[in-house]
Amino acid sequence: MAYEPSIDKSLLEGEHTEASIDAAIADIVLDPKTHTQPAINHLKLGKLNVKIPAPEGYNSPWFLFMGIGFLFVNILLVSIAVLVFTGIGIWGNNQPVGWGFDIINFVWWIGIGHAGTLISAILLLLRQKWRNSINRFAEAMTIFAVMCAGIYPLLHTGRPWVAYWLFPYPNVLGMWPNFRSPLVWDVFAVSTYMTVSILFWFVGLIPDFATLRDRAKGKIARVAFGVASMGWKGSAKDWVRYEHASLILAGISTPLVLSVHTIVSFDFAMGIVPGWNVTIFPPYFVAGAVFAGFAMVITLMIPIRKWYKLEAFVTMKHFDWMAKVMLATGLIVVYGYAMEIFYAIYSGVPWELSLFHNRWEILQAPYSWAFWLLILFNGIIPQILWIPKMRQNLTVLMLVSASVSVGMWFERYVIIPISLTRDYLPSSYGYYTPTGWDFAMFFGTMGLFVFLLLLFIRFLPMINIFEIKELKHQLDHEAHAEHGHGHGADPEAAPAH
Amino acid sequence: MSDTETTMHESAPKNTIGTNYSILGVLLLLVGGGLFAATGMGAGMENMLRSYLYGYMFWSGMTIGCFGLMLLHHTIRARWSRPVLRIWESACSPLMLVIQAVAFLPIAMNLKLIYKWMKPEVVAVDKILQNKAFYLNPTVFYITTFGFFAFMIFWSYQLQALQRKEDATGDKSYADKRAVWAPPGLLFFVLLLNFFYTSVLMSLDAHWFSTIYGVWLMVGFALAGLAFTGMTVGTQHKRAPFVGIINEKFTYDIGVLTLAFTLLWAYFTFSQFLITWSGNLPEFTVWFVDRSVQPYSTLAGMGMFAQFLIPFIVLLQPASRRNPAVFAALGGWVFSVRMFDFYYVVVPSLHLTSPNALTLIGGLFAMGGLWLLVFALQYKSRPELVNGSDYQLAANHG
Repeated sequence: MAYEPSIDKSLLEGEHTEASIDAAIADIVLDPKTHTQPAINHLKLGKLNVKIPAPEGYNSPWFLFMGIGFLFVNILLVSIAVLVFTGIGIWGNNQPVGWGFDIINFVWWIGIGHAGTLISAILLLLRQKWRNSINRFAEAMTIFAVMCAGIYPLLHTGRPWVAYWLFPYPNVLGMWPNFRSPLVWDVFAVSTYMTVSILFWFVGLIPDFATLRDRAKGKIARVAFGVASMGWKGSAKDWVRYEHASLILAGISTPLVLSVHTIVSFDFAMGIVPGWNVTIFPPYFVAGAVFAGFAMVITLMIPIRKWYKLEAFVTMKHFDWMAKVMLATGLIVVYGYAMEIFYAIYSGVPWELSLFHNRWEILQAPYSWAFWLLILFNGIIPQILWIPKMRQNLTVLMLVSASVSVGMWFERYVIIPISLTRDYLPSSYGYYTPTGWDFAMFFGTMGLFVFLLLLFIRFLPMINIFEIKELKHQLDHEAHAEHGHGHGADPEAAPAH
Repeated sequence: MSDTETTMHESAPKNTIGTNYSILGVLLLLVGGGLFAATGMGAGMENMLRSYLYGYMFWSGMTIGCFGLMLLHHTIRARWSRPVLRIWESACSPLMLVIQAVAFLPIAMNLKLIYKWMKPEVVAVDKILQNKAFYLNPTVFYITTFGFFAFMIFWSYQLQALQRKEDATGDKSYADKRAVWAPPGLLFFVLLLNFFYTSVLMSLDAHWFSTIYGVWLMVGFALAGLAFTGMTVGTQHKRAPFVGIINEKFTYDIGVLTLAFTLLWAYFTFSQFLITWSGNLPEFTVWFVDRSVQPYSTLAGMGMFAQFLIPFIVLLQPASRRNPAVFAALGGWVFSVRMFDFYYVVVPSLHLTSPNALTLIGGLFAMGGLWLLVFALQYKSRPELVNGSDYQLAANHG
């Protein structure tokens, strides 16, 4: 009987001690110098080699992208201010398209926010060790993406200052939400998801806050991390409670991962607009969300890993697994597109057939360009990930992930304006054109996302320190067992492969 | 594993899977065949064929479910499922698939007696059926059904041959080769399965369509395959070669997968219903309207209770997932309930002119008998465990 190790050794590269793991991750937070490395001081444009005229330390990626993020946050704030004072007429929404960029971007951001909980909760329940290096980062991404998403429906109410009317509470106005509306379901689904995601993220941070508290040299940092660590001592009792809390939160989060995007899909599927009342929408939206979420994790993790020298913790094995998940979920999404098209033709129903022609026919249908871009970005380009070598090439991975992010945006664009501008009556046909404010708000939320993510990198450990230590311990234990010196591997540690 | 357990492993009595299913198969074939013939003869060829379709599609679904599980196993290079791979292989062996393709001939040769879209006088006055004629015709029917069988026979042969070579030589490089074949196989499988179910079952209600239908049935049959597996090995865990291998760790893993498929089935079922109910469009609601009468409305309620709620509560308990005996009982329960659920899905669409539950049950039993007999023969004809099934024993020995 051959011994087979249950954890892949390539999940942690190089020789490490617990102290070196602490130093490599915690010092990114505790040592400000890690953020001021002059990584970008030259811009090469063909033969031109332009020196960026920034003061020493401020030409680092962190400061550069923080600056860009901050600029776009301001654009977002201006857009919101103009919208609140003028009304949602500044957007391109108009009959027959009552939902435009606002809902497209809402769904896009919610989708991006799915990878975090999937990695943290579902992979935790499935005992997948490869989640350890990326879960914290993905969880943060989830929270910030949901924040960006929440802005759109809030503003689309037209009067965001009375958005609390969406909640059922006793009032003298006789106001009561329409519980048959999936938009009200969204309020509950997204707010629950946000709450549980923040709780899960915070609980996971507690042991690492204690590490930062113990390593911090400055008084403010010691007090801040001390308060956040809630008196963590690292005792057996602390760990037992932590494990219980994590498992309970993972159990709660798992159905939430499915429910949030299922309910988002109901925003459309509950309607009778051709192309919306589609029974495969719930699973295909969930798969699309995971697809988009992993694409964003890969897109952001590749440069950040390089800038902060995290190659030992986020290895090529992690990228390989993430690429495989992206490929698998991408195929589910493409299957969804295929089913939509096939059944539109199979149905024999005129309005379903018309929907197919409106998407499919190049040059003749007004939005076919968007449909074919969607197929290119989501359907064709990601297929390169079937080749193992391509999954090991970070440039390719970065390009494919970016392609998926764009493709997933086009998916929502195809579903929403095409169906709304071509319903049952030719008299209600139209064409949707977004305005500059639509774009300003979209890029503004991107800026907000980058801004928040960089604050997170600066002030909190982006990789789960104690889980990396646990992984190291388990790898050492397995190495011992493999050489026949131990009493065998912990069967509980076996991944579900 | 302790020394006592090792001794138990070596001295345990041989399992009775092959014998049990052979006897059960013969009994079901005789009883079911007799019942089907006795009650169906007077009802006419049309009713008999349609009743046969129900039984046939349930047991072909078992093969399809096990084929999907085998593809999934090789795609993700699963380790925990090695001890039951031979069960899945036997359920979808090339011989089993050839027999199923032959057993499909009575349906394929009598399309006019089963499908409305085969009647020119009906199509002539139905605009929707005229629009659908490009797909609903005998040529496409034969391509999508026999093409699906041909695909499964070829892929099953490839994967099982590679597995047998590894078992004979111990060469693990065959696992890499299987991992090359399995992912595209899974992709084609999900796609072709959809056309298969559209042609054979969805087209029974010629106007109706639902985009989730194919994967919904696939998930249901994967669940049935897992239940059958749990029932089979759960009752044999104290016998060779399963003793020490079908342990609490194994049932925990298969329990988690069964729980996942239970949830997925309930999720698909509820989503399809809710979207149809909310849309309230006649081309979609017709399917549920047909099922809103007795006994189907009771079966629908029972389905959610018996196929979702009970397994969900049992499988949510870690202690249940770690107990092979509980898992065997639950597997039997879920497997039986799947037959009722499939009755709810298929029988109203058969539009039987003189419905007789005994003919339907007779057809189901007869096809089940044939399936179990072929399964038992296939299982007996090959080694009971694949290479590396004993990895847990190796890990415990250190």
